[in-house]
Amino acid sequence: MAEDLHTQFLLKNMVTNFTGEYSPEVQQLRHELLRTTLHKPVIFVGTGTCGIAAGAGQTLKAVYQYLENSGEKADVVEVGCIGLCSAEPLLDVQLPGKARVSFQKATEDLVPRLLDECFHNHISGTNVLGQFQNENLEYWEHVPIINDLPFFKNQQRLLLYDCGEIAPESLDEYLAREGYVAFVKTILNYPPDEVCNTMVLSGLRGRGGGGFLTGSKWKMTRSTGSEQKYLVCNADESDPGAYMDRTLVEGNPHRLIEGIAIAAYACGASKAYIYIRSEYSIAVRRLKAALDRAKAAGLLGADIFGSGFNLQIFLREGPGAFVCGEETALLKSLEGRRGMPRSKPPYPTVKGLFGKPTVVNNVETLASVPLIMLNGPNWYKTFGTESSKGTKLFALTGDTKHTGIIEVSFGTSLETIIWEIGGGLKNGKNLKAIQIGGPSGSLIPQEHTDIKIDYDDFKKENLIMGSGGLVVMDDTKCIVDIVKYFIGFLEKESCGKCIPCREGTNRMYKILQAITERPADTKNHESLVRFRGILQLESLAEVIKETSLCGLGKTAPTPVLTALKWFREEFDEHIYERKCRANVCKDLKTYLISAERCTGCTVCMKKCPEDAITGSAREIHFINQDKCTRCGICFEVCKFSAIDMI
Amino acid sequence: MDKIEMILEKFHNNDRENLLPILQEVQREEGYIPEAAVVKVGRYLNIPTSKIYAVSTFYDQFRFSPGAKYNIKVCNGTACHMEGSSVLLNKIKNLIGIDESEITSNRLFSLNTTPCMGACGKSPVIRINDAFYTHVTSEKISELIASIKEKESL
Repeated sequence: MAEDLHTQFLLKNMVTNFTGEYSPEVQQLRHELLRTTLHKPVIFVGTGTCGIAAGAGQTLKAVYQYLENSGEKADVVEVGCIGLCSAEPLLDVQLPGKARVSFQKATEDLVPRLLDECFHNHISGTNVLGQFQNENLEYWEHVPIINDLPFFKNQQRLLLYDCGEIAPESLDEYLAREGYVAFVKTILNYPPDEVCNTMVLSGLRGRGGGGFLTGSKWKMTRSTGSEQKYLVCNADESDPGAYMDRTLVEGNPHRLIEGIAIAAYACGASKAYIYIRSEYSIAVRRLKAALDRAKAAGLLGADIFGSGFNLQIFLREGPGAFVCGEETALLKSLEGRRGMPRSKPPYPTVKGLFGKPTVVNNVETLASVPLIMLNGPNWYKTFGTESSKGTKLFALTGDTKHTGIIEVSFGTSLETIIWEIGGGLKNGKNLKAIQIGGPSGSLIPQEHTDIKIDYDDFKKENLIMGSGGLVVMDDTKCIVDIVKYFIGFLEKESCGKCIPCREGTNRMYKILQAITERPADTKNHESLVRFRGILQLESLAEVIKETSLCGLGKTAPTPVLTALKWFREEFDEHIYERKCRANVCKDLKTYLISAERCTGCTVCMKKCPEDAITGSAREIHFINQDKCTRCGICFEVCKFSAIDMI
Repeated sequence: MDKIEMILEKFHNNDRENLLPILQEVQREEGYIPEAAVVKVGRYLNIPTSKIYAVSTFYDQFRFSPGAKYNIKVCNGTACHMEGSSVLLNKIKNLIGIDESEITSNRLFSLNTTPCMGACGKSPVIRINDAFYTHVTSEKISELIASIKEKESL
């Protein structure tokens, strides 16, 4: 492969040269690999999972087709995602000497026009997102700099910095960006204890949800006497609506590998496992390729760079179980067993994989490690707040104008995230609530969005940061329905080992069902029963929280409790008035045809997917309530507003 | 040597930790996990067949019967749920006449929900085999399924 040509040269002259002063040959090669100097145009297509879903595969084909038809010469590079998923598919073009310009929503039909414009040096302005900052290159006129856009300006992109810019599988490009410098420097110059101390000093806390000091965790494992220790990277990201880890791996897998290597060295592990969700096929493929390259270049294996440090990294695909995100369940799964958690202590740091001391770290945590080692703990400490250092990634989804993966310093308020980065709400709707931290996370009402992202502030308010799902909801969303959705998810994913979680989540789901759905018969479904249900929900939630075995069960009632705390009146409405103010709980609605206004036009009858409407032309129609699924189509198609929704 | 033995050959040791990777490899090769393969894997790793089933049924990934020609996956992420993926799911159930995690008797369609696919900006999203469909509506899905049915009846 062409790109492997420079690996040995870079390793010899740059990575193992700690002076920071590189020879002119190295500088020139770096410029080429960083694409400051170009010999021919480069076309980039964002082919992360989000891009592919938006049609980047077709865009890529159209690019090749265009090059063939027009005879233009250009390199085509597949990159990860810059984070702005709502603008996908993204197509970037960089001409020699000019800044790289990015086009949004570049579907296949637009490709010939957009490329034509670029190659003829005239950008008309449609579909332009912006251009990348690079002072050494000539900027396009009337094209905004990407970093000045509100979505990017308010972020602090330490980890995402090169996602979408760097070719993910290219080791050379990563090396040119001082990749693996921190690792090689660490294993040659620093004793492991010092690395642990550096990490403690930097204040890096586990990003998987626990928020435990990473350096202390490493020390615990390091100080055990065991010969064999393990490092496990938890990439089994299965929260609905969260895909930070996937973006990081798809964008730059080498950064994660370097982080794992440093962490393994610090805690004394010679074997590391990456447990990644098998559904992340693109991430798995890129990680595999990156591991092979790193191994071939001598960055992994035995006696790395003569330091005496050995490291093997194994890639394991998680076969799909949400509970395996819990560390003890994950370790069971790695051992080839059912992924069920066990009670702690002993913690995995003392007794983990195959009974040996094991450090389990999240992708985001490990990806931060090389940056800290390269720039020092004091540099890292400049980001964030007193108690929470650095940056945090969030998957911003839901009803904001811009959605995607964002990275902010700790201390940023939710308001900034919604109104500045997210660009406010779509279609001028009003903000209702924010759901943070995945299915077992918390609901935050609109009045409390001034809260800052901070581990301690969140703890004070009894909120859970979780791994980083952040869903913004406008006022057309029903809180009870959302809570039911999350509890339904947790009920399905509960592993069944401990009773409070297995039966408790099931019971909570049944109660929420009774509140949001219409009973088949009226027996046992009076308001009183539903009201008791709510009381039961609260006491049940407390029991589940207190007595469950693992984090899944312990946090499962959080959505219910926070929703009851802030949105009690919505529950009451569902119970007593049998009304859903957002019109989401379809079961609570009844559609009736008004005898006065119905003209007997038969339109609703024809459109009804369930044949629930009877009648004949010019006669008043009638809805059969037993057949009606309350889809609302008749309501929408009636030209005479003759259908009432109660 | 058959396919299963070739897969086992690739795994040099018979430690239990190789169980899940082996099963994943089998499924990649065969499309599902046949009973004969479970027996062979059990012999190789020295684990009873019953235990292998106990472990593999715990995980969502493994299938024990051949898949359908068109595998429909409805994203059940938070954003898709808020945009009405459950309505879509019901619509598909009605259109092809099966419930979730089932397969039609002619092995044409199977239906599953999947956790977030990460295309939240374009919800609701469904996936049929390798093709993604974004901003899916009831009408769009009806057309899609009708066109597949038409193609297959030819």
